[in-house]
Amino acid sequence: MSKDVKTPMLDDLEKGAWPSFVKEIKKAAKRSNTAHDLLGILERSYRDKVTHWKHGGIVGVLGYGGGVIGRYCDLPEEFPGVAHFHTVRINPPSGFFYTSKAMKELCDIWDKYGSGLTNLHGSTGDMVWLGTQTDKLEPIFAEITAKGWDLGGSGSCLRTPSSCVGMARCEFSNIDTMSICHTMTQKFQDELHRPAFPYKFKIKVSGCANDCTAAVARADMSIIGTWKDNIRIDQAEVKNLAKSMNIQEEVVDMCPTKCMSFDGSTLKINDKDCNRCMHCINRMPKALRPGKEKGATIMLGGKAPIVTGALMSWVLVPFMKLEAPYDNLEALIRKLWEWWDDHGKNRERIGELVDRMGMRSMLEATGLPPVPQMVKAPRTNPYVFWAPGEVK
Amino acid sequence: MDAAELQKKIYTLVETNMGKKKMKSGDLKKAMVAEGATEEEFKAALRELVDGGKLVYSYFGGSFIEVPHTEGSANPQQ
Amino acid sequence: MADKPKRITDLGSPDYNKFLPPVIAKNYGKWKYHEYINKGVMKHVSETGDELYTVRIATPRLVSTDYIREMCDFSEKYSGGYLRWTTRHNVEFFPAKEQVDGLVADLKKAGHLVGGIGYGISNVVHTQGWIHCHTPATDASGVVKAVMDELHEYFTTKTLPARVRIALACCLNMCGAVHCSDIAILGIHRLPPKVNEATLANQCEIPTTIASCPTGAISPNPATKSVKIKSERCMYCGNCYTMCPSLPIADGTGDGISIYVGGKVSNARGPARMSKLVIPFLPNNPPRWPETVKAVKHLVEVYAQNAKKHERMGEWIERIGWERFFKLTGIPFTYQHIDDFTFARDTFRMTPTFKWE
Repeated sequence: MSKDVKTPMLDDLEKGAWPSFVKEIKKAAKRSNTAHDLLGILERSYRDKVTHWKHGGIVGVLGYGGGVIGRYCDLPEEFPGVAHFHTVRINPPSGFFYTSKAMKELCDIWDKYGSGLTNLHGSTGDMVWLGTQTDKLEPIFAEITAKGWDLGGSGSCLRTPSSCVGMARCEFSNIDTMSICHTMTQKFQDELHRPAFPYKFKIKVSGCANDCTAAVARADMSIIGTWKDNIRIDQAEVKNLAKSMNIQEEVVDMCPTKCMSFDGSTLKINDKDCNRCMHCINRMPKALRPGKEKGATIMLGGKAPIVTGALMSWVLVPFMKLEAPYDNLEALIRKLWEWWDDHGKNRERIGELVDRMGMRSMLEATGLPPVPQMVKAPRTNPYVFWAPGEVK
Repeated sequence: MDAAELQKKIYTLVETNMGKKKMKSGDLKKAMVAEGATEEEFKAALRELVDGGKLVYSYFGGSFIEVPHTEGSANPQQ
Repeated sequence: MADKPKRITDLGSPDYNKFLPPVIAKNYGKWKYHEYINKGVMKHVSETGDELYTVRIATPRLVSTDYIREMCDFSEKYSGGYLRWTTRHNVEFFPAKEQVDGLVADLKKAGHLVGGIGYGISNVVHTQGWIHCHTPATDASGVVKAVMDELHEYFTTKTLPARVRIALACCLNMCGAVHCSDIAILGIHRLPPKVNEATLANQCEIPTTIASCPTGAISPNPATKSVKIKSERCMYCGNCYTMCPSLPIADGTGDGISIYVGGKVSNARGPARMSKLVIPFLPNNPPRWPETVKAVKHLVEVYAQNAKKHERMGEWIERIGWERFFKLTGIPFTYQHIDDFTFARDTFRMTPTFKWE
């Protein structure tokens, strides 16, 4: 254990009502030199107002191109415990349910080889084990795989897909999000571990338009459950709820399509005008349920700003039936990857490629027809391209 | 294409470009397909090379294929 | 290697069915409705008549294995050994009805914050910051801790007109993709990268480095076998530093925090939308980031006083108009608020119809 360092700034963050990450680092520091030196270098960052980490990029386990993030500090003499500070990403079970037995087994492995510090979960959804050394990576991999776990994705690959809790606990879910997430993860193991794409590709699955995984903002492919037929109404429950809430103000008046009316006892919905936004169902879950003809809207292109600006996913397929084993979804994803692989530049996300090449190129490659649901409105700009052969 | 020959071609392409241009998996695939290999043959050959430790994946703002080496960041001087 | 042990690879994600509490496995896909009992407890009822209780607590996201073991112990005592993490870093337990009160009391006794359900502030989605990242413009965990120390009552007891989703990303890479949050706290750089000419030729591929710049600000400098940066073109995204470690962009004075508001991902009432810039810069002031804490608290309070029930922050602002938002909050409107990048034209207003005070 290296010499004791004073951490007055971090100590201040032990105070206060919100759970303290500093307390967590200090718990781990009792056992781990890595966690101990993390305190020291973090205090230094608090003083200097800059990071002290350097990007590594080559460490990993044999055969995989993802799952380990190489990290080194720029003050290794002062803080030898974090000279190497690599992260290991573990693919979690869909939906993030665990048994205490499985969790404790993972903790045992991490205590043996790493800092004992983890994020549950990282932004993409992996379990993130923070802080280990190059020579520990293979032993960690051997032990986790022996217990049935695998690494998640990093680099220009399929990142670990993630989903909302879906049918496991949510009555709103129109699709089996956990099953879709798990099935895609298993089908695309090669694409997840052996980076062959122009850049990263994220898949997130939300069961309804509330989009609890933030798929529209955070996933190149956003799969969002919806339905086509009528909202199911339990009029007796409507009457019950009318006693405890103002249905006219809180539901009918807030409906974006004005497709509802309420006469004080019966709620009427003109389902032809409903756009299935979820507001009324969110407000009255006991009385209203999505219809029975369920499926998903498939959207493409969501991403954070780097490089050409943040994008939100847009519609590719307005309604797709999704039933196990989801071969239709797999086939669509593979076609998109093929097109992206043919044309994408290094670090170009698929949404940016559509921006650069146009929707038509992608639609032709995937065989998807142009449909009005893809646009807010048709173009206003009269500079219209015509393909050879279209002009006769 | 013969598997051993294909592996040798891939390795040589990576090795001769080290320090000049980092090769992506897709770059290598396009080059090998141009030389007559199928995509499946390329994928199998690359996997053999990586599983055997002759080549490794790296990640610097994008994933690349490189000859194994100690990385710069591991060196306190850099 | 002759004695190479057999490697197991490509296992993927473990089968989630192994981890489902029996009542969930039995009622999978059969849930009928749910009710919020209070801010920390909800009840789901199945078509079979079965009930499921969920108790939720906040975690600090960065946790020790001690913490996980403690959660496991709670789950063994009250939840049949089953537990779940949410996408916003909360932990959930599934006690039987008669065990709910005991579990909540035990959790509170151990210092945990029970809450995060319904209208208020749930846990903050955030990134790594100075804990682990090589490109951050601010810390993540520390800022979140400081902000939530001030706002924790909105997690445990106080309600708001609707959900307020707060997220933090420590640079524009936005690992947390915070750009569709009610309040997004975003670390930014404000100075161009410095060129380390001594190491660049060795560490970086010059064509790749030049190509990494989205504004074309980088050009070759043959004299030094390095590159030049046209400062006036740089918008400090840091993409070049990711590709080339000899172009460090972090700077103690230049770096800090910006605040965006009004985004959401839910489509309820209206489509998902991106957050918009309201505060271009606040300094990094560890360990408590008082300027950022004050700004976030102020935004939450002005929203709480003015929004209608069920109105998310962005919907409220849309109703009252941005000019009134800036007046109500007292935030100055500056050059930085007007976009001048890729999507700028979409943000300009093309109507003479205003609400005047």
